[in-house]
Amino acid sequence: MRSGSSRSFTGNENEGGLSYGYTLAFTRPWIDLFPDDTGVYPDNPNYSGNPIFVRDEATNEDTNSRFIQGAKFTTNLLDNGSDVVRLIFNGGIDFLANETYVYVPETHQAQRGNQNGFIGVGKNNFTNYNYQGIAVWNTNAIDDDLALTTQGGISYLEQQTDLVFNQATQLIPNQTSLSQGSAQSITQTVSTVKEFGYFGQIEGNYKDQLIATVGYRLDKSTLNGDPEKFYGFPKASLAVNLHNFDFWEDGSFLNRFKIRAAYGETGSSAAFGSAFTGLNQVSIGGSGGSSINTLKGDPNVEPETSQEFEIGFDAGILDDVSVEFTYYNRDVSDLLLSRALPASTGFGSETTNLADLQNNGFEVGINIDAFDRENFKWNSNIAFWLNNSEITRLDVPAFPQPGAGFGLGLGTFYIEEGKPVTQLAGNVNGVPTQIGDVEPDYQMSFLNSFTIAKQFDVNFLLHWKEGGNNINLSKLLTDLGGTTPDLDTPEGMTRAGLGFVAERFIEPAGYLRLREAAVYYRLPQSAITSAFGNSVSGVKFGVSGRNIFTITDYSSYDPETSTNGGAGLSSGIEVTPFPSTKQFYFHINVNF
Amino acid sequence: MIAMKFIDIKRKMKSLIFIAAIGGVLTACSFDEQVDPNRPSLEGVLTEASINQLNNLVVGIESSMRNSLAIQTTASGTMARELYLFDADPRNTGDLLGANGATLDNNSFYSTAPWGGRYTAIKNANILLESSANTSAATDAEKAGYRGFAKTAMAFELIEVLKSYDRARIDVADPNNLGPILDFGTALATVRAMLDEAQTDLNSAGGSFPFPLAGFAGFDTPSTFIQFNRAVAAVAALYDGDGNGALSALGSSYFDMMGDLTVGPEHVYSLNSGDFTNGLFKIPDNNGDQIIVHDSWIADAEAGDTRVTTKTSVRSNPTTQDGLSGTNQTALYASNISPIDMLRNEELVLVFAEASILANNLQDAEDALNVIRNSAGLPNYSGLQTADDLTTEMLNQRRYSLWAENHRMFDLRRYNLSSTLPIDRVGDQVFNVSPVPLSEND
Repeated sequence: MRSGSSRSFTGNENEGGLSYGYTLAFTRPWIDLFPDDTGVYPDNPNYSGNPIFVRDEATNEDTNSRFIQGAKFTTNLLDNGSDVVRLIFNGGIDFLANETYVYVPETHQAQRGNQNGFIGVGKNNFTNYNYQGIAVWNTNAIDDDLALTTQGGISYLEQQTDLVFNQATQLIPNQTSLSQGSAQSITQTVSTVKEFGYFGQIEGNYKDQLIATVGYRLDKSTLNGDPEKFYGFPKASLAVNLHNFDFWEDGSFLNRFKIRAAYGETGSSAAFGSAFTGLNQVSIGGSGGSSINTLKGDPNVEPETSQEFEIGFDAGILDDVSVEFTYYNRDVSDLLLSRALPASTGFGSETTNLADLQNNGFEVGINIDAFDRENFKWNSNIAFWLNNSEITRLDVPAFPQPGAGFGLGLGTFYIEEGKPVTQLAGNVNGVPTQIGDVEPDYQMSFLNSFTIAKQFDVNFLLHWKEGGNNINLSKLLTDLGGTTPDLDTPEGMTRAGLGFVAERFIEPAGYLRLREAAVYYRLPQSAITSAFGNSVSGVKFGVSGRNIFTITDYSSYDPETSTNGGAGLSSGIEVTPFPSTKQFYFHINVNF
Repeated sequence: MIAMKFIDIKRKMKSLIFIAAIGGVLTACSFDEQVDPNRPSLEGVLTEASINQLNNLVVGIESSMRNSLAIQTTASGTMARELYLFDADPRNTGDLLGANGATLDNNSFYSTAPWGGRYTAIKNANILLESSANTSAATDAEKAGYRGFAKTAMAFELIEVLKSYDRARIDVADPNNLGPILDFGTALATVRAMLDEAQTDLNSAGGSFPFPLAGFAGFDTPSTFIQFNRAVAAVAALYDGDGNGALSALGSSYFDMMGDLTVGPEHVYSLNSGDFTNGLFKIPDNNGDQIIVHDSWIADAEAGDTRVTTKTSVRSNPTTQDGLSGTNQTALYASNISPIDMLRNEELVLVFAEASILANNLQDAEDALNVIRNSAGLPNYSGLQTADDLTTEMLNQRRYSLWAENHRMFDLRRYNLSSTLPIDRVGDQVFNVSPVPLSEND
């Protein structure tokens, strides 16, 4: 498949005049930035770029071509009625070619006389393949009351990346090709990751009353400091279906009750490169040379391992209501963290096993089959969940998470023993202090599905996040540029006069968002048969939307935000980021 | 029967194929020791390095001596009220000017970037010292050349750290065993000793270096580079209060009161791949990213001082940010590939003047200051020939000759004159030293 998207310029940028958020924070609304009759765009007197020019003349595009294929072979080794042994071999390949293109014309206000235009072309290839070989043995014991499934096998995973970035500046006027830039630079980054594991598991089902599983994995990875060392991860679970026991009397209230408990360990390796200490390419006066790379490698880096225990129940109440409840406690040992090193070492950071982290919380789900009539069906699902975290061990003094904030002066993620890993901290009277927490107090979701008049399917999903803070640095920019709407109110003036204290930028970021809503119409069977005969079995069309509306007190444009992307400790800090989009789709489904 | 046999064989074949595949996978699955595919390892250059690898480290040192130079200069220049940096980061016009009771943050770019840049160059120099000691590819004279260069560069960088932070960590070769952060006097004494060791090395480095240098035209042989070493030693002696030591070192440097004031090694820039451009160049009359001259620098200048008209230009449209404004912008660098002087003869003349005051050779001081004044289109000094008055005149000439070159904040601090700086807005404060970065666990 091949897909493309056109992005724009947002996010953190101090100089350069491209990011819309930055530009608009400083630009007075009465300045006319539109082009004149000859197509010339005026310079922006308040900032280093004209946002109308950037919208019309600059480009930021992304194209993906992808090939995914998988194959599975199954063979029965043995089938004598009571024992079945099967061998399964499956594998897959995923190849992605991603191309990026960024173009800023040489006539841009901040380019003229300096960089004179910019073209960036990225060609990124990702090749992933994996295969597994599993042997499965099914048998029965205890007079066929106990069904046993035993399986064991191996798995292998390989990921290769090759990222090439070509950049040209000092462009010949009106040219958009890399060759027409007289200052050219290329960077390439490659990586190969291989992982291999053995696994085995036994599952037993006794009369559907007791279901138990026991298993074990051994994994090794080239991402670990010792690529040949295997790490072991056991798991076990037990479920008791009380309603299937002889003593259970089918009552009209509680007709199904299952208690379950599980324990499992997993591991996750460090990012590629964490074990290496190397020298970067630099150049001066036409000679190339080597300068220390600021990432200090840990040649003995180990995977972080997590041990999770969970317990819960599933209950069927009356005929139409089911309730699920789960409590979990997850301890992560040897948590992999990046931390800043004293710069006097020549290194800026290292990624190594530094801490232990504990997460616990619970999840509740209620499903109600409210109506099940011929012309009206309604199923409602309500979910509630919350999570708390704490750093239980930290081997080094507390530190701000690199890349997850802008220093203790403006607010940042701060890794500290005894505190949640999601805490936001800033300097209060010169001392790093917790000023907020990105973790919400709780979250809920409401999913309702209706079938109306037999042919219409309607569903919608509401998501409610209560509590949780963001650091809103977009407001800092608009205060600095003098364009925040409330700057002439007493409240606004007090805030702007506060200086750079981290408490100024903390805001509650709860919201209620309509995540998805859809309406579909299924053609009645009679209409399909008369139009298409027997070749078509179903036709459905409809409209759907995502992120349709948001109700929030948060003062910037999207409380669900992140200036550093969606990974790990980065959400909840914003500097005019790319907002979540509202999307609307039109669907046609035809089943043959 | 025939049909059943066929099925049996088929089943056996499938399982044989499967077992063979598993066997193949198992034997193929041992993982080798991993090597970084994207860059050479540090380990690889620490023993038996080739001349090529050693020269790459020299290039690395010279290149990284430019790291964060722009931030270091604009931060100290703002604190010393000689310029403002108007861009999108509010800390440039907020924190650095102490607005509204702000304190300098030890975890923001203005504290961390200059320290990081200087210590990258120092780390590269330490790598070169270790690497050249553990190789058989270089002769003793060549090794002396590498040592002399590395120690002189390291000393130069440590002086830059001391100017901004008033303290420095000297013993940083082993990242797991850092020495303590030393105060100014103790650190400077070690720096002066380092420069003298380098001088000894350079004297036994033979007639030429085995490595190329980019910004040292005229100073790229042992006998000419040693003049740079002595110039840096003169500056170090001066900052240590040792006037006679400075004068003696100047005598072996390229100091020439009657010569070209622009002579000296430079940080050079280009548009070549992998190189970078001069961060202190700003597009004239641009908005949103500019270096504005502090109005007092224009107002306090003597009439006719050509340094005002050559180093700055009047903006065609006025600019204001965060309650600050200025009429002039920087014109110090003509393009984004203009070089930045490391230590030119003009500065050595000023060092001579100051050292002469310390050594009580007041006539020599006045003569040197007149050379500076005359070159800026000003008449000779007409004030009193006393140590105090000449010191005031010397600091004034440094203020104009070395504008926006990371000197003013340190000059005022070492003469306890920081409190004489103007306050631009109610609530602003004067800071004269950057805090050591948080990551140093000080």
